[in-house]
Amino acid sequence: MSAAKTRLQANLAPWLDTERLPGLSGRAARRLRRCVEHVDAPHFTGRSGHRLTAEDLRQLLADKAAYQQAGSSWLAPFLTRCRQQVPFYRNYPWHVSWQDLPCTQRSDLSRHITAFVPDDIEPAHLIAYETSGTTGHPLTVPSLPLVAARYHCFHERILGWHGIDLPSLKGDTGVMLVGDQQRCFTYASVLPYWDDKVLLKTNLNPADWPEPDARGRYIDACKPLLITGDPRSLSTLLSLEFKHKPAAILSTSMTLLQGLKDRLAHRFGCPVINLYSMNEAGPIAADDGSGLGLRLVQSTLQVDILDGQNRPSGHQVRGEITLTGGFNPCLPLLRYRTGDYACLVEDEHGRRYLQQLDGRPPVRYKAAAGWLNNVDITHLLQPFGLAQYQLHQEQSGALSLQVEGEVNEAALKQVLSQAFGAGCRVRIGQYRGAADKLIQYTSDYPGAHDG
Amino acid sequence: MSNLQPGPNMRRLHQRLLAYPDSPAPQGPDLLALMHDLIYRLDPKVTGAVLAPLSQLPQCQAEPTYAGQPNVRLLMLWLLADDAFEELVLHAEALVSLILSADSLMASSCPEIQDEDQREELIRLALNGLRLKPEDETDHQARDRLLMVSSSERARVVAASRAAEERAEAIRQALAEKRAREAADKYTRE
Repeated sequence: MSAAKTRLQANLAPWLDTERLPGLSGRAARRLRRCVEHVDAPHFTGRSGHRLTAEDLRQLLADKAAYQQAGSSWLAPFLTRCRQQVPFYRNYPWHVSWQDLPCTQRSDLSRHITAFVPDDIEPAHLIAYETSGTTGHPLTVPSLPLVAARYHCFHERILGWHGIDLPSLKGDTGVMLVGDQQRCFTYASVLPYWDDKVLLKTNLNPADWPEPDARGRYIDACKPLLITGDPRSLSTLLSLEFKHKPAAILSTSMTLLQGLKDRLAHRFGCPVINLYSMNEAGPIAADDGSGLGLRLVQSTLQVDILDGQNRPSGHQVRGEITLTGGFNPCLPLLRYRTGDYACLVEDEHGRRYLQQLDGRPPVRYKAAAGWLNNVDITHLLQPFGLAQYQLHQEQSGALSLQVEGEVNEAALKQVLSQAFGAGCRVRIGQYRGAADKLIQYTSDYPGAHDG
Repeated sequence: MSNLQPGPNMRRLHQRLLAYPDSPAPQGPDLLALMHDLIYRLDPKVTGAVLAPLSQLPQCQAEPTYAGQPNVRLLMLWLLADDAFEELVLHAEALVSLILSADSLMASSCPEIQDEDQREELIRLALNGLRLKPEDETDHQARDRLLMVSSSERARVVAASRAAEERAEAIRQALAEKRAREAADKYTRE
């Protein structure tokens, strides 16, 4: 596309943007326009789209059917592709059983991401997602528009476990993703693989809205069938006044504590589904309502629980969640240690569940002007390109930031002081990496874990 | 189980190469006759059919000229003419194959025999082509040391590493360009 055409597309209204939304239908455009021009609509800070071609959409349908098939016939071709196409795995000792191959971890992806992209992937087709993760290694995940759309297949399956048939739900707005951050990338888009329903990514921070009450009115106007967000943002949702009740709420990113789950379920009268998902692998497991834990959702993802020596932890013994396979062809995971811990159990029907999952504990930080979400901190620190870091807020409010490698301490302190207030004491030191799992965000400040 | 037959002493073979005569290099029918004689001496069971491909070598067809630095093939022929090889069990097929491929074995077609590394490489390539290993070396050591000195292997590794680096750079650039948070819609955070 020429530079002039690119500029033109960038300036077009979202409902005319066929670069980000190829094949945009009249119905989808009308729905999108209604949501964007609504009097109570938030200020959308960015633009995004599915970027799916007609061929991608056909492939997505085929994928959906394929993902329903159980079995392990995918594993052998997957391992062959790893051996032949992935530079990082090429020199592995392939004569041993695949369960004896070396393990990888987030730091490997963080430092050598290009070596994980298979040779048969054309770089020009890549898209990228940035993530901070639990282990403090910032990471750029290579992906494709089709991969992002494949999430829908798994969400559909998860909602099916709760008796919700996603394709048959009536409504114009499919999903509202809620955040609660100082600064957030927000947009309105459409989902061609779900009946042209609208997707709204919003920030519940009142600063993004015409007035604070507009948030509730907008939700009542758009009536999103699904609301998704991290527990902290969902907690903010509870503080808003509106009548609409979604078909389900999906909670991601952090540990969903039972108290908040109960409050959400009580208020909205719908399933509140805890989803264990990560950028590297997509949705891995979710609550299926059985009370047995988080049920594994992907049929082409092998989940193992390993001990410190990369050996299976044993039946119902807690260990590190380790992944092989997945649905992102740009990042084939082979014995990928996630940094999260759980044990794996199987019920009498052969369904496998993660129990005692140690995910990301929710935390917020007290600044002079109010509370900051940990996602805000990620944004603040992103420009510094830190390899790994850990931020802790003490009871007094003082901050302790531990970083790996060389860093401009003065600039870091300045950024944190601007965000937290000039009176906030900031101490910066070197991260020594002794723990087997770094918890990136921690706090002893009163109220840091409430909400 | 050992795959390589113990061969001559490396020092002896270095000395042999250093003693390459400062006389005109044989070409055309002279070269062909020299090769036939050598192979027959090392494997008396050799047949005409096995030797036949040698006559297709361009150097065997040209009229004899007497100029130029010795190339890999001539140096190998000189090397294999050492008495030490007569004590070994060698096969004409392997000898013919080695002589035919000599041109492509080293990065330089006319190696400098005063250069110890190039001599070492040439000797090890010749031994490896005949499934021999230097005296007093294990198979593993012989293969390892060949890889260490092999200029064409080095060139291949350098080329592969350059290609890999170019691809990595293309991926890095693509990811950097697309790293703008506007990637493609996903409706859950992670």
